[in-house]
Amino acid sequence: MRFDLKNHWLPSFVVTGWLAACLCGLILLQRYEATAGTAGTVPSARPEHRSSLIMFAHPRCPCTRASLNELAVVIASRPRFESVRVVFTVPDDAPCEWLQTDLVRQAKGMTGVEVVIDAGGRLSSQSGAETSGYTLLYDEGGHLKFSGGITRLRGHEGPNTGRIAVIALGQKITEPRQQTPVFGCPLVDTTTDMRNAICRSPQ
Amino acid sequence: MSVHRDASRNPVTATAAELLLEQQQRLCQATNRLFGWLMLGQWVFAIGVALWISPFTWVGTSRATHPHVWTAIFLGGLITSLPMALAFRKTKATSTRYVIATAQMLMSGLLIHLSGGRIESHFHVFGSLACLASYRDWRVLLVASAVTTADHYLRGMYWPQSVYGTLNPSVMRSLEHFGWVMFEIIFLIIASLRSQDEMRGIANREAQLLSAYADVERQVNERTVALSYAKGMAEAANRAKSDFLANMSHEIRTPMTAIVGYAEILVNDASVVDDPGQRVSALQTIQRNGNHLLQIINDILDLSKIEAGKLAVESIDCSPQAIVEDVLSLMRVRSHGKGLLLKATYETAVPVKMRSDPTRMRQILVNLVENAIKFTEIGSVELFIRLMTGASPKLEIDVVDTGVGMSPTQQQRLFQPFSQADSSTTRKFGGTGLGLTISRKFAELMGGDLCIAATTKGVGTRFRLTLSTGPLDGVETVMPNHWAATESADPRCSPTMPPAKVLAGYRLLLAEDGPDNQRLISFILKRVGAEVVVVENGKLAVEAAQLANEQQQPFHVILMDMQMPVMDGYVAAARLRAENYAGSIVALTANAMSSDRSKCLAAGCDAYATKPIDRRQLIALIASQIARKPVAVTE
Repeated sequence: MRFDLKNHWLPSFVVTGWLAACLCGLILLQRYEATAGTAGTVPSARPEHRSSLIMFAHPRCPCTRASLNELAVVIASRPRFESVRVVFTVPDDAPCEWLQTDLVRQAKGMTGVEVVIDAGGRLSSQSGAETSGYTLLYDEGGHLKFSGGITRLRGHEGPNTGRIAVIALGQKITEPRQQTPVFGCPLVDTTTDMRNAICRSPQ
Repeated sequence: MSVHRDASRNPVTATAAELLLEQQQRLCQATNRLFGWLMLGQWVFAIGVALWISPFTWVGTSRATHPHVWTAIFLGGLITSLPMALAFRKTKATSTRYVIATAQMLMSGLLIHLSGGRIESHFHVFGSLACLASYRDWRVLLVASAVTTADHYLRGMYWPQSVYGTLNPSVMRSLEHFGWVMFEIIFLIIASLRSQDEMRGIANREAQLLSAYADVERQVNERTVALSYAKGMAEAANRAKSDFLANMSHEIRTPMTAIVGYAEILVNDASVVDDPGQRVSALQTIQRNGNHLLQIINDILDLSKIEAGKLAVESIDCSPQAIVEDVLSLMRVRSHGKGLLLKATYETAVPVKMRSDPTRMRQILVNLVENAIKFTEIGSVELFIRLMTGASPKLEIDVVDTGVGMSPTQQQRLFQPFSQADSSTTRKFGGTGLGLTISRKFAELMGGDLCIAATTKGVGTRFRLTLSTGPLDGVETVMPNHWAATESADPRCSPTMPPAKVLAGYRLLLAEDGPDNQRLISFILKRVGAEVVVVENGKLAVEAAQLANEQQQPFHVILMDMQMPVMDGYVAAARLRAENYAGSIVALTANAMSSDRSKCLAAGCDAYATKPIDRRQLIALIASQIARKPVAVTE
């Protein structure tokens, strides 16, 4: 059967427009998923001479569930870190029940993980952590070996560069210092425009 | 295209193609509706997933609706809208299922995103492919797999970590993902193609069944019509037989009335008995009506023989000219009585002899001429005789009258058994309606035919009799002169000569249970000099024959009626033969069928005579039996 453009131009136009709109939507969604959060200046060394893995987390960020799940994968690989901490930021204006979330309970339930409450976000601020899921790894000498996220996209679990690097470092595999993008909610409200906070481009 | 070409050749193939198309459209419509509802469900599910997993996004303590929620609502709605609309409004369009396939794969991508890329959500892709196989259309599967492959390829190209978890994936990873999709697609395509074949087979079988059903229905209709026609014919035949029985009743009762009536007068009325003129007139009336009654019975017997297929004709040398002369001679008195001219014209020379059955030929001609005279009031009855030479020579005789003629409808009824031209004919002219039927059968048995050559209502009719002459090699043909019939009296009407004593000195045993027949036969036989002993049944006949033998006075001939009380003629003849009785036994029976003759002979009889008794024939038969088996006459 031959395609008759005269009789089919409208349906063809509708289908093409629909397909294009769907593709645009999916591309926008993908771009949002792949948009990394910000990170501040991270101290390259610390006085504490022991290896430690520190993750900064927003207690209510849905994307952070993926980060905690990836942390669980890292811990399951039996890394030789002397301490693993999850630091939950509590802004000054946070309500009393701020920390009563699944994420906090999940972190507390993880074996070998120390949950730290960062009142007022001072600790995260000192560490240059601005986005939930931001993870730092220091070696025994107090040198920074890794900074960034351990998820592939916003809220997406699965093998990714950050997780692979942390596991390798946990196995004492000598790796150069690595930095990965971090995907999650801003830990503190530094702006007044929410939309900018959500959709801003990676730094 | 090939389907259409085959369809134009074969109606079953065309029906099968229509059925297949109809079945495919039904399947696609049902599957379209299924996917329409599925798409709606998936949309609602996507919104639910977004609300459950990521209802809000946070900036410090500030929150806002998570973009996933808006995406689920708007992008999910967009993906769902077109296929759902098509699924319910354009159910027959081929493009509908392709749009649905595309949308289903896009929905898979959306759900994977909304679920945070969980590996379990990827099963939606494979599940969707399996569901799309319900269309049994391999092109739908190809569209779906192309969409999902393109999605993976583009995301792998621009956001490789989102697909492969690494920023620098190898080409093999892409091929691996593509391979898993192909792994399922290939099997689904094979299954779809097989399913199509099955549908085609079902459509073919259904078309064959429909064709067979149509054939059966057509046959049923044809046979219903045939049965209806046959029923009509049977009913008509039944009516004709009823009419015939009524006619027979009339035809038989009419002469019987004269016979019984005049017989009663002769018995009871002394004045008639004493008056020789009236007595002879009454006896002639009884004789004439008796002969007429006999003719009717003979006709019925002939017809029953014809219907039973037991009628046989002879093939002996005979002179056609002599037969024609006989018929004219016989019919002349009747034609003169109506003032009609009766003559024969020879159009060609005719053979001096031919091979045929003279009795039946005479019977046919008598019937035709008799009819012609009956239905002609003024004018003539003429016979035109000619020889049709050739490989199979035939004698053709036209009987032409100037009588009432016939309409086409009357012609159609004429040769049907028990039918006359119409019922008024029967009322006006009498007759049984059997003569022409019998005559035609005779003509056919004699290698010819009898038909109406021409007829015009009120003008006259020409009947044409054709008879096979048999081979005429060496047979002389002559051109008779215009024949002028000489008055020849019917032998039956000739003055009775004093009977010769041809059986004088012979002893005859008559076994007959009917007193009238005992008297009649005894009288006839005694008139020609025979000594007749009468017994009433077969048992007495056997005893009388044995006694006569013991007394050295054996009977020259035993006349044995075959139906008698105590012991019938068959048993009696058989018993006599069992006891080595060597004398002649002649069967007397009212059963005139050839099978009856065989039965009598099988019982041990030497000859066979039918009732009513023909005096001269009976005497001749007895004389011939005496000559064949002479017995010493006791002095």
